[in-house]
Amino acid sequence: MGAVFCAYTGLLNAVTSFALVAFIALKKQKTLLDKRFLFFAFSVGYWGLSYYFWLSANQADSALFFIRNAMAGAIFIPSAFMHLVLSLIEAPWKSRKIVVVGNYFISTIFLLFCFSPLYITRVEPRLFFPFWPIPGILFHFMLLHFSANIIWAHVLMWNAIKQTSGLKQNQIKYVFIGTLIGFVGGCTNYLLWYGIPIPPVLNFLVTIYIATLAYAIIKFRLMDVNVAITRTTIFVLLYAVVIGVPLAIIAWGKSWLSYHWGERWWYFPLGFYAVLSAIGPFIYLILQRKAEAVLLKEQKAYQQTLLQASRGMTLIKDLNRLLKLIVHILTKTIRITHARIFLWDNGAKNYVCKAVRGDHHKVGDDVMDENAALIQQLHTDKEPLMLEEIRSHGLVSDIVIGEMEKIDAAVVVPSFVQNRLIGFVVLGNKKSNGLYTESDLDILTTLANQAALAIENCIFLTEFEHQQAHFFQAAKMADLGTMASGIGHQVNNRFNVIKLGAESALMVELRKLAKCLDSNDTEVSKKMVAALSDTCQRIAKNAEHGGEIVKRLLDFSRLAQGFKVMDVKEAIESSVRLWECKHDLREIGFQMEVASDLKRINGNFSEVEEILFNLLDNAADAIKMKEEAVQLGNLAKSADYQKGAIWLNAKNADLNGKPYVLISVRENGIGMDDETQKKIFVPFFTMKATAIKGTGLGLYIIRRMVDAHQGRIKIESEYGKGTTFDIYLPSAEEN
Amino acid sequence: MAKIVFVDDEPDMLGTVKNVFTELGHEVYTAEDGKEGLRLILENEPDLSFVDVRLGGLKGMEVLRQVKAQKPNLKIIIFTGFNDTQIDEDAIKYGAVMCLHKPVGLQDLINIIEKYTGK
Repeated sequence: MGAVFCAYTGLLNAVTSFALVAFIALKKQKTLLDKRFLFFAFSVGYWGLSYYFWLSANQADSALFFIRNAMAGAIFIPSAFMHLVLSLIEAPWKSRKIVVVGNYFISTIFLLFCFSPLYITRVEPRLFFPFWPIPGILFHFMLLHFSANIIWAHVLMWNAIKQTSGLKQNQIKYVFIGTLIGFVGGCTNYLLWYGIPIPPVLNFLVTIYIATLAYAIIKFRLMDVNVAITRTTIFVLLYAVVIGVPLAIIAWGKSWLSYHWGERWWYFPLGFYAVLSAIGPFIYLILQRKAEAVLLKEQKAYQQTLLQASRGMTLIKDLNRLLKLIVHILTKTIRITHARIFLWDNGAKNYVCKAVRGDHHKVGDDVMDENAALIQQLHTDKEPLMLEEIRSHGLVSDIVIGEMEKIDAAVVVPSFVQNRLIGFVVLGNKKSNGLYTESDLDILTTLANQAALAIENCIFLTEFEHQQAHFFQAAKMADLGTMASGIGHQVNNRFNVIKLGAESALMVELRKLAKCLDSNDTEVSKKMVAALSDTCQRIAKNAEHGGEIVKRLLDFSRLAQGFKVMDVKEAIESSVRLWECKHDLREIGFQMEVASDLKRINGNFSEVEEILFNLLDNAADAIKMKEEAVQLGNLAKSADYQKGAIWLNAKNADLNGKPYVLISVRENGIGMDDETQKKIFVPFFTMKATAIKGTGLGLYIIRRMVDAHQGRIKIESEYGKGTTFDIYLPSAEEN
Repeated sequence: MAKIVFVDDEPDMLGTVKNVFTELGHEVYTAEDGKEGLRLILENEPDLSFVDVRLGGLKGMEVLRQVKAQKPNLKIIIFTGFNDTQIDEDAIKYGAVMCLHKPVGLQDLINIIEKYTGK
């Protein structure tokens, strides 16, 4: 019974080993460690299989044959293992070579004598095993070779653990722990060889060992070894309870239960088993979460911070501020040596480093071309790239590795927006030398993608503001265009007087003066001189007026200069002066009142001028429309009919407790009914019929500009009576 | 010697033309707004009238129409500082003999006066 059990452990070892051998053999790209592991696992498998046949043998001859085979396998196990470990810890090539070659040499010599009685003399029964081998002379040496290598390999691994960090260290830890377990298990075999009456009960641990080793070598992204140990321990303990309790009940409670329940005594342990196995997984999860909360406390803390940060990022509108914030958060929370952000530059067609934080002397290249291998790799994987990982697993070309080293990256996290790689984040190593875990990379990916959105947002907003500025300027120029005829008329009038004056001086007065000089007629000459003086004065006056008009025009058409603290009064004055050129103020009454203590606002001077000009223009048009309507008979002339007039008022005011500057433009023109009031801010909606030409964009522009200034518009209107526009602009000065 | 009426809202303009044409031997009347201008024209029946389009009160075109309605034989020239061709059309439509665009030269004015009054 015991022998059969042990035989099956051997079979289990063999099956596991060969399965892993097959798995690795079928891998397309094998790393160095993969190859070393292949030979080792094969040796173990060969040993395990022979072991099984040995313990299942019915006769001494076949038993002897198989145990010798098993030992043949066992001869190569230490050499293969040492070879594996030396590659794992990346021992220097020279010393590696000596040890490896030496080992294989010794193993080969042993192999030669493997089937001779010098190695294993014969088999005889021991304990419950029918055929147990008796060691020959050479066996002792083999055991020495075996032990020396195993112990030495462990020493090497222990040193390596202390000297490495990150991924490598994690990997070596796995192998070290696994090896310890495995060899302890396997060594229980040797006890009986020397007469110590303990059967090889722990032989099955070799399976676990092989599996752990395979995991450590094959798996791309290893779980943190501490986490793995914790989870395994919880699992084992939990299921020991789940399975053990019912078994214990069966073992010890059977008689008691049979006494009380009779035939159906086994319902009790079965019930226990069912309940425990049902709640088992939940308890496992709870325990695991609790354990990891403690184990990974620091990691969870900074991951939380990162998540919170990513949520807040889309609120930031300034691109540079956003980038600086991101690198700051990364370096501070994860505690890494440096962080950099590369963004796609559409002009230069490459990726440029736009923000950096950390140890500057290690910073590296600032620009990455779009055709670089690293960029292509990011496009392919769409996942973060970890330098250590890709180095050890060889899944990625050396060019990519070289490029990552050039920009001094331990991790590169790409940022995608709808399949466009808009940039990437370069991270240095953690200051604690800890490794970047799977959950770390997940959070970083989330952060990168959020950042991508936030960055696109900022870029879009900047462009939008540019466009808006252009749009406003264009609207203003269009308005000036409508002024052209009005201004032209004014200027022509000036020139008319100047021209006529000069010509009349030439043709009439000067000619007569010349005659007077000849004929000495003092009276007429005096008259002529007086007339000439008048004319010249008139010319001078009109020239000055002409200049004035031009100046007003030029003042108004100044290019927008962005938002500054400005005086509303100045804007009012320049708008009104120009507006007066367009409309005949004999027809329209105009009254202006500006408070002397008018506060200043934070605004775009050009846009405020445009707002005012538009309001006044619309007011004048409204009055004209009313006149037309009255003339055409569409509107009854009211009893208190007044001449069309406009009132402009500017003063400080409060709105919702905040200080504003209130500009009121009131007119007694056509007014608007409720329907119209709803539509007036829609672009191209216009009330102006007949000959009044306009773009219909006026109030739409006003609305947009007032919004851009964070102001408010209020309207009061009654059809036939007139309209008042109240514009509130936030004051730049506190009370 | 012709009888001429000038109607324009620019006093400087009126002053200049009054001086010059009086010197040249014509009889010149001036008015600054439409109503006054209309009265002058109808009362004095000048050989030629120059009426600016842009006037306070009664507009230039209105003056033209009313004069033509009451005394169709009187010759009116419309004056304007605007570049609008619509004004040209309207002026002819309402019976003006021509439409003049400012700025206008003195010699041109003299020639025009001679053409339409023969003086």
